[in-house]
Amino acid sequence: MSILINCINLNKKYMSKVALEEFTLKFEAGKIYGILGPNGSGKTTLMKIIADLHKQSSGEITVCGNKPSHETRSKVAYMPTENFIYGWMKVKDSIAFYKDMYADFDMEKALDLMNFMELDLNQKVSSLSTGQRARLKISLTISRRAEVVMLDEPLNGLDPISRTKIKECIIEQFDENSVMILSTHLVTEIEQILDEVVFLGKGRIVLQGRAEDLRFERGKSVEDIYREVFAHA
Amino acid sequence: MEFNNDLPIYQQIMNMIKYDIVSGKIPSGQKLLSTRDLAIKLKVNPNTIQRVYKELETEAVCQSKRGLGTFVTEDDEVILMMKETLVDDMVKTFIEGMTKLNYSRENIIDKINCQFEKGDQQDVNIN
Amino acid sequence: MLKLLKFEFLRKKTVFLVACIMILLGEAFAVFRYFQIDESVRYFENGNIFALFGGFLAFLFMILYLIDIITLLRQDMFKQEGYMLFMTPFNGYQILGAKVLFALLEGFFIGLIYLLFIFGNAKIMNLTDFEFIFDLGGLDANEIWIIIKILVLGIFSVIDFALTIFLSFALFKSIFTDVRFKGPITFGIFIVINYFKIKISDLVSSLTGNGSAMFYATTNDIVFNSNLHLSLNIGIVYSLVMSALLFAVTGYLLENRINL
Repeated sequence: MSILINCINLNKKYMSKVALEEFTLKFEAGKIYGILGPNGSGKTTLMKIIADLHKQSSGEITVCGNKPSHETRSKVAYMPTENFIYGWMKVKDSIAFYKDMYADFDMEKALDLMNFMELDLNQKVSSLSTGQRARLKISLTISRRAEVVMLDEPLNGLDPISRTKIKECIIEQFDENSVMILSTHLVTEIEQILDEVVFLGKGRIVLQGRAEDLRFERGKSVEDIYREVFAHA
Repeated sequence: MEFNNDLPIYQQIMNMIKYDIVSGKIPSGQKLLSTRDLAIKLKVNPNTIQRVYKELETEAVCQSKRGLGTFVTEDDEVILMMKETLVDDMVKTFIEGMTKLNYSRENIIDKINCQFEKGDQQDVNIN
Repeated sequence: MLKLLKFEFLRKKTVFLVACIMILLGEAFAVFRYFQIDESVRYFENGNIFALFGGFLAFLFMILYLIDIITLLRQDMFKQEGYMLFMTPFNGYQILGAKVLFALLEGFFIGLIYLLFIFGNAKIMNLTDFEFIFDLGGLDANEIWIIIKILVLGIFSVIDFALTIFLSFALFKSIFTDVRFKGPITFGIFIVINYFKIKISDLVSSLTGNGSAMFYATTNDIVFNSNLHLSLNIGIVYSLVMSALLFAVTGYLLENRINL
């Protein structure tokens, strides 16, 4: 199986704290990874480095064989936790923006998703509710057929029906040539769709492995393992 | 469908499919859903379903036909054997549980008979 | 690149519309007040009123333009929404280039509107002294050449200034990430860059021995300094080189060192 993201001894230090420490991991195509950890454990930092929005302090990283740059950005569909859709846009403007900027954008799928998510194309983004914004940003991101799809806290702010639909979309879109990385601290909701789990605590990998193997070895759910690992965090 | 996340999910899905085959819900020779469709239906990882089908194949419960999909075996003997194993397992688990509660063989049989009578009464009531 | 430019235009659409409406309302108000002034005062002080108006308008436009240029990059670098732009597969130079190009076009546009207002109001106020401005036929080739050079210099200076601000933002978001007192530091960086720029410009002008005014105006003609061509050329080359330098450094930071 081909390796889409290769991190070797990745470090990220901010002036006041260490966000990522000696992070070494290969992300293989055809798998869904869950980066699990409490807030401030480095999940977002890792994703931003992969998305070329942050630069590591030291260490090596390749995305689709190259160092992160504007070229790798065309292969990475990243959804930050923040409300990153311009408030002045209408929903349809944000779709047009994605269509303009990304060659891998699937218009049909986007419109289908907007319809399902009950998003009004003519509504202004700044007037959307928290839940509607969450639905918009995830719809835009997964409408791209990218090799690397990263969703930071994908189910936050979504109602149960939207969560189910999003999970369906993730499974539906997923194929053996791409890698999907999900970060969350709400493990139960998502653990059934994960191949591999990476427990991240204070910037370090605490535990990592195949979800099914962990369940089998420990006789516990990933959620319970999470509670155990981060009991003292 | 709800899963027990304490157990490997592929095993739970395997059992689910086996039950459906044994109970006749899925007839022999029937084509199973594609990996992706079943994954979407159950909201689980497609690789998990792939593993399920592979394991079912090694147990000869299913056959994958190149380009056509995965089919339930038409060999009645295999299904019968599977049924036996499932039933044996269930009974074994039940007896183990009862033994732990200090029930003797006679007590267990009594309990079962008792429960059936209750059940019959309930059926009558409902009707 | 065109897509980026298109995006910048779409983004400013509403702002421009609002600005245009405000300016038109302001103009209507100004004209209304003008005709309220006593006729004799209007007769004797017409030129001064016009100069005051023109000066005020120029000042207003300059301030608005500057604020707008600063927000052009500031919004994307300091607000969460900037991710949307910086995630696109365009490199730092392209993103910055689109902004600079947009600032240029916006500058032209604002300049055009300003001239329109000045001439329009001159007509309304029956100012005939300024008719020489319309009389371009009276200018010789040399004078036209000089006016073009002054315009070019003006544009380059604005770009130069905008890039200085952009560079301070980029420095702040790359090398000085996650430092307290964000505001003062950004401003400090800006002051330091400008200090160096002034030093360099002093050096350049002392080398060429030319620091005096480029031209002076009388009531009905503009008299150019004899050395004007040389100093204009130097000014243009200086601001061009400076802009290119600032652009390269800022683009590099955006592409290679950014921490959004």
